[in-house]
Amino acid sequence: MLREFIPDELITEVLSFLPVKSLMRLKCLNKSWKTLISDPAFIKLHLKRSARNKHLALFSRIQQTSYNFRVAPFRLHCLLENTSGTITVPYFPINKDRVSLNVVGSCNGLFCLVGYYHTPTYINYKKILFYLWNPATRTLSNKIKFYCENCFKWRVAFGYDNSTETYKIVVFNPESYEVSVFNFGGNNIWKNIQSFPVVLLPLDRVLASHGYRDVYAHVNDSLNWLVIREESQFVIISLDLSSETYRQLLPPQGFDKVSLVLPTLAMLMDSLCFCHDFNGTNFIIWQMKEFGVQESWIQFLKISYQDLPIVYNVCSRLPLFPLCLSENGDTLVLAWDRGKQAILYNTAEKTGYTDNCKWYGSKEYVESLVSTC
Amino acid sequence: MAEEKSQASSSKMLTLKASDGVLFEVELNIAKEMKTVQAYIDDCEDIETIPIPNVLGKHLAIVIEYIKKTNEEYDAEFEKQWNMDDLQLLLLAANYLNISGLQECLCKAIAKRIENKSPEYVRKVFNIENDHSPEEEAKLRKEYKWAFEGVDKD
Repeated sequence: MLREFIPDELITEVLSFLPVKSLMRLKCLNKSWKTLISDPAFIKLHLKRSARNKHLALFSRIQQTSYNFRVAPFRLHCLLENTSGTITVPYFPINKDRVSLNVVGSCNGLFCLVGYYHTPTYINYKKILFYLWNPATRTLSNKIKFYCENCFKWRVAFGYDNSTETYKIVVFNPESYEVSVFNFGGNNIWKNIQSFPVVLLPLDRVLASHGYRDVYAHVNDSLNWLVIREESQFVIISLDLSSETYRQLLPPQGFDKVSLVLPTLAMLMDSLCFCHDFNGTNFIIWQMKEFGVQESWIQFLKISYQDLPIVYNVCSRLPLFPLCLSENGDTLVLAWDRGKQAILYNTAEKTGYTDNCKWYGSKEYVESLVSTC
Repeated sequence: MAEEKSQASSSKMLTLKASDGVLFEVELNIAKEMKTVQAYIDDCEDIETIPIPNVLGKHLAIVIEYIKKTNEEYDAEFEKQWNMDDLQLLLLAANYLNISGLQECLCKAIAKRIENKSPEYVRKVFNIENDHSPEEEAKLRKEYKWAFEGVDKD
């Protein structure tokens, strides 16, 4: 046994490298460890370390007819090394309210879940439930109710505002353009904010007909949607989560041809990305190097469909969704076919392979201790 | 002339004296990786022997070797050679000498070794007393029962 004592700040540093499961267990060690592990400053430090280990969380239904789903987080580097056999134990959110659950978004280890009363025995068009779920600590927040007329029309999004350190749920009605925001840990009420700037057809309505709902990009402190304005011009509506005001951004100048496949937005390397088909032969990803600066769009990646391990035909009108990029920039993970397939594309060698998992969605995920209260 | 000068300064040797009196001659650029030593040199320019009162010779030797050889491959294999007591003493040394890369490497190594261990095991590692009451501890163990699944037997 060591005679020297390790000072507290070094113990904290050691603990910050532990996975969440170990830390939950070590709350039993003594009172000061229990306090430390629940301390917001430690949780922040742990998140910083954890963010270096990106995971991809894949969702699947437990059974065809089930309204429950499970999440399996894959360590990104396991996917890259093709050691996908090592699936970790999947997580199940507890569904006490017996709603049909879906994932809105993921941020700092928390998932925002949306629950619809759309089960075989009961349909309620006027009430939606939301929850914050941390699968690593196995905690679920209290349910948040949202009342509206025809809730299935409303679009949902989830984000984090660094300036106030608040998690926010944003819902908007694509017909009336009403927008409502819920701040977690704030006064916990729904607040109407400025309406969505009037536009013609939110793209996601078209995407929804192909099975993609609620497509948006959460970039730093903003939520971004791609919409079409008059004269078929694509525009990005960006909602700043801290001021709760909008600005409109334009896609890159090099993009002007609308193809059979709709373009989409993505978040890669902490930047807003605009992704589109080119001539039915390539998939191009643009990166907005400096958020909000039109001139800062650069063409980041051009992928030939021939280099992808799938038969990609633009006539299917199914977009490819970039999900995340590995730390070293070598591997890009793309979702395709409503997220049922994950494609891993090596940017240097220009080759890809696919993981044939039967999942219906995927999001970038990091393990964290962040509280759901 | 300038070339000669820079050559001379890079091959300038310093002596570090460990707590048990063991002496180590190191090149200046190696010694500078230890920010504590760098601060010492900045304060007293002509110093030739620097006392390192908190670190045993055996650990100082390991630290110096780390600084010379550190790279991704070396770091990955480095921690495997030492037992838990040595890892902790090396961590204290790295912290005192202010070598951030080594400090992080050692914290990660210690974390890896306790990752799958019980609270009892970890208490012994860090020599910490349990001040939870039996009721409190039982309550926590029940609440986090799932976190105890698959833990290494002590």
